[in-house]
Amino acid sequence: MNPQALRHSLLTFLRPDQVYTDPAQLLTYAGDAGLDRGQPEGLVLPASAAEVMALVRWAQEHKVPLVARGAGTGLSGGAVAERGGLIVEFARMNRVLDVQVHERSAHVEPGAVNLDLDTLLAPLGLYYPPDPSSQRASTIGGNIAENAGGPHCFKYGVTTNYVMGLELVLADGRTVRVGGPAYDYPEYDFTGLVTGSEGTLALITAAYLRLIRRPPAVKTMMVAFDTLEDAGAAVSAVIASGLVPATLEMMDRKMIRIVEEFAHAGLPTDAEAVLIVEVDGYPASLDAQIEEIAEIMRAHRGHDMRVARTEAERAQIWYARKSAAGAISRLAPTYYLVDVTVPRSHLARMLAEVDDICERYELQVAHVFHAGDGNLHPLLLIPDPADQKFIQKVLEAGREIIERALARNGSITGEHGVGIEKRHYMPLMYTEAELRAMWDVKEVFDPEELLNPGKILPEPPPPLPGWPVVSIPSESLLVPTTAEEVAQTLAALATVGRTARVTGERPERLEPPPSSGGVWLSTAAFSGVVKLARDDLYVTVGAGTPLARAPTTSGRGRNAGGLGLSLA
Amino acid sequence: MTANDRLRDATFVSGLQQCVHCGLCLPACPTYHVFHTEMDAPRGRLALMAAASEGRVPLDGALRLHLDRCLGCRACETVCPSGVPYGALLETARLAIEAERTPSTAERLVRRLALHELLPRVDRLRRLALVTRGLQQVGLFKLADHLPLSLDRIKRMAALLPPEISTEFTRPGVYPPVGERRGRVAFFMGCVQEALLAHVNAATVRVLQHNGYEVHVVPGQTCCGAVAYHLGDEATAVELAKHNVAAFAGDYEAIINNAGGCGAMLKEYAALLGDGRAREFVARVQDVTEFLAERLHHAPTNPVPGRVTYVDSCHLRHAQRVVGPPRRLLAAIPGLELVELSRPDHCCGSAGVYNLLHPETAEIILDAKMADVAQTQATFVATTNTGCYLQVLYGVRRWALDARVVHVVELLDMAYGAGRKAS
Repeated sequence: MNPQALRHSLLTFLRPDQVYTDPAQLLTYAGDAGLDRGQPEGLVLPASAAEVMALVRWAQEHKVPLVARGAGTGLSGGAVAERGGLIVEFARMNRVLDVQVHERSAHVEPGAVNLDLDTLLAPLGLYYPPDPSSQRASTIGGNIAENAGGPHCFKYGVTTNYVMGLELVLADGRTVRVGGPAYDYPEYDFTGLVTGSEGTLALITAAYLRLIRRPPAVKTMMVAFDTLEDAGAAVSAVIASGLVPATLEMMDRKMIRIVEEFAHAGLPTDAEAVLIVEVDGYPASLDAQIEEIAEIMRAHRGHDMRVARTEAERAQIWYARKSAAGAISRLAPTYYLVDVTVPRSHLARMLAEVDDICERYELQVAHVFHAGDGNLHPLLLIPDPADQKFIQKVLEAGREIIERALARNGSITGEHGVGIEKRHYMPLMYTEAELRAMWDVKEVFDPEELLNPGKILPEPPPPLPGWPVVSIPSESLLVPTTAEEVAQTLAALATVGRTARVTGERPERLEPPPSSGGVWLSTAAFSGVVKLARDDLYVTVGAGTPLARAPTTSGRGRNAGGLGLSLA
Repeated sequence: MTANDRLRDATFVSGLQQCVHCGLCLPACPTYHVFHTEMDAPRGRLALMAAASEGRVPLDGALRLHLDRCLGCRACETVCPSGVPYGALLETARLAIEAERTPSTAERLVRRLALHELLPRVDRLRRLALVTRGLQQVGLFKLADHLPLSLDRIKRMAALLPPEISTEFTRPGVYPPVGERRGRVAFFMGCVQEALLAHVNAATVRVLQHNGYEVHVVPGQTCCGAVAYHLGDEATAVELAKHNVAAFAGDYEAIINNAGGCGAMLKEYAALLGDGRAREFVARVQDVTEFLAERLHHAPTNPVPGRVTYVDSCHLRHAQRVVGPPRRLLAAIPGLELVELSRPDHCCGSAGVYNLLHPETAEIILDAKMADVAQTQATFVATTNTGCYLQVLYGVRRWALDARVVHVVELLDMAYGAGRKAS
């Protein structure tokens, strides 16, 4: 459709100030805060769920892709219309519809700005913890689509832990509510599925958010270190000791200096690394918390510890921290911000590896990141944005960093999403079976690929090979011992149309065998703690582990039980 | 310079490259809050300027529309972590657009009249003020309400005039210090300020005298040139700047002004003229609040009972980065309680002549400001700029608030027992 025809068609159900098709105006929507670019064919700014619904039906009819966008602060190209189509900007749907103080929930439109919501909640004694560095501008809808994190997510969890329900428009124009203001609904967890799906499954028109009590008191401390490794080791030690401060943020010397120049927060500009540690809770508990952490810091050669004396001082420290990425352009006009996660016990070693890689590629790097989450954000500086050869070099270094993170059992993204930027890394992290499962979900929600096409998974993964035919079990009670065995058994049962019921009950206690040719599938063999990662604060257990059983480190391969269960 | 010379200039190009598109400027931008579109936010305007610089968009159409809609308040500069010199980039782009454009005869006439015949001629402005005051007193301005819709702009201009125009004009001359002599300063009185808000200038001179300064109201001074410059008329701005630099060449400790917009322009003279005399001039320019906050030799003693909220002048706060001094002065006044706005960094919609050129947008921005003012329940609304003063005065009437609009120095003047009595 040419711009005039497109505009004309959209004006059948939208007002003139909601539709833009002038290419000159649209070039301002070609990008987000990352490096990827793509020119949309049009921009629409819906004001209500009804308009979103009409828009999706229109898009179905005309086969025009829709790319949802909040404030365009994303870093992975999630809101970039690289395959054309319309940008659906939610900035005007920005109301906080309701705050239930007693229920501790908020009902908000997707365009509400993260910090505006939290500012509104503060006087009510409530708190919405996910606080991405972009929170001054970024929207709740965008935060949900990317499953955003932030400094306080170390203690409080990421966006998905605070989304209780969503109002959605599906790709066929249906409106549905999934979840809601309460904790549990008897339905599939669509809320969890759509959160982090980057606009590829549905358009969000409202969200129910979980709120918590605002901590009655907060203390923020800065600690200086002479090496990055010492700081990294201090972070690992704090976590290993079981302490959970509200934040554990790290910046290196380059970053400290550049941020201090802009924000004047009193950062120690001659330190090689600084940690921003925040503790919260009852006022009387704070000094003890600080002292406990300070002791570990000193043991790792932390020095010049300074606690913010006033709320204004504290606010300035965070203002500085959250301006870091932008401030870097005082060193170079642009940068590539790598977002990877490693288990927290690997932090110091991973930092050293990143520096090695950058040295090898002769790149300048600055570090600012959520150390407590093991979420690194090396910023690779690009002195000349027009130098394609250099950018290629930067991207190659980025790839090496990602590969190193994966080798350490990490992730290709900590919080910025996959979008365009990371999609070609997906096969490095997931098996073909896992990619295929994701694609199957996408096809169910959006069979014609109209919702943010090309993001996360650019094209259908190859079809899976068939399972080798195995003999159909004759017993009515099966106790498989590996995930592979579970998969083969299920495939074999499916080919002959027999049903399986999964049970965690011990085989000897199962009474009547299931009727009509069905079988019991017992998870009894998947019992026990597979891995207890004390330093990284997680445990992997088999699906058949009795809840009451004390954690011991013995058992089989990674995640064996969990995988078996989800296939069943 | 041609439009292309300006757009390809290395300083312009590297300034644009400073932007990393992080989007942290969006919430600071008053027009983004009105339109919620990228084109009406700093990041999008910078993208349009970059496209123009690379020849990807023409200089009329979208580029001009969205740069015209920019208030030029520079709030984005204050919050920009990357240090993008937005104000300077905007000026360059506007000059480029003007260089390409042929204005209509009517527009040329109005510009010629305003920029050459009126603003630089404070004597004419004073006479015009007296005539206007006379017309107001016989009730002629009430008739403006009955003008047909086609004369909307005139109607709005009439609404922006203060209901009582002061005639307390400040004449050139030397005003002696009161008590111990502490120094010698020059006073820049501005053009519209002297015509419509003469009492603010009078109060400024008195407060300086009261603190021991010999105040020289230098003859031959003229309009600062801000209006011409922001409208893309660089030649006129340069001419006025040269005139002022020459007029203030004497031996003064400081060149004091009391309007944020004028002060910001005066401080631009070094960049505009690029010579040693201009740099020497700029080194001495200070806003009256900036100067006095460090030199309040006599603490004010007369209580001024009430609540005051301070409406920052954007060009004082964001362009000159003067934030604390006016607040410290207000806090020094006995009996006066200072209540901050929730968004003190947001423009009131005056923005030079923006409220005349974009009345609908300016009114939405003003209403947001007045809602903020209303919730403070202030009895005084203090300002530090001519345009803000007039705009907020209009806003207070529009919102029927029971608050008196003043310049910060007027309150100080009251607290020294001079000037108008606290009401």
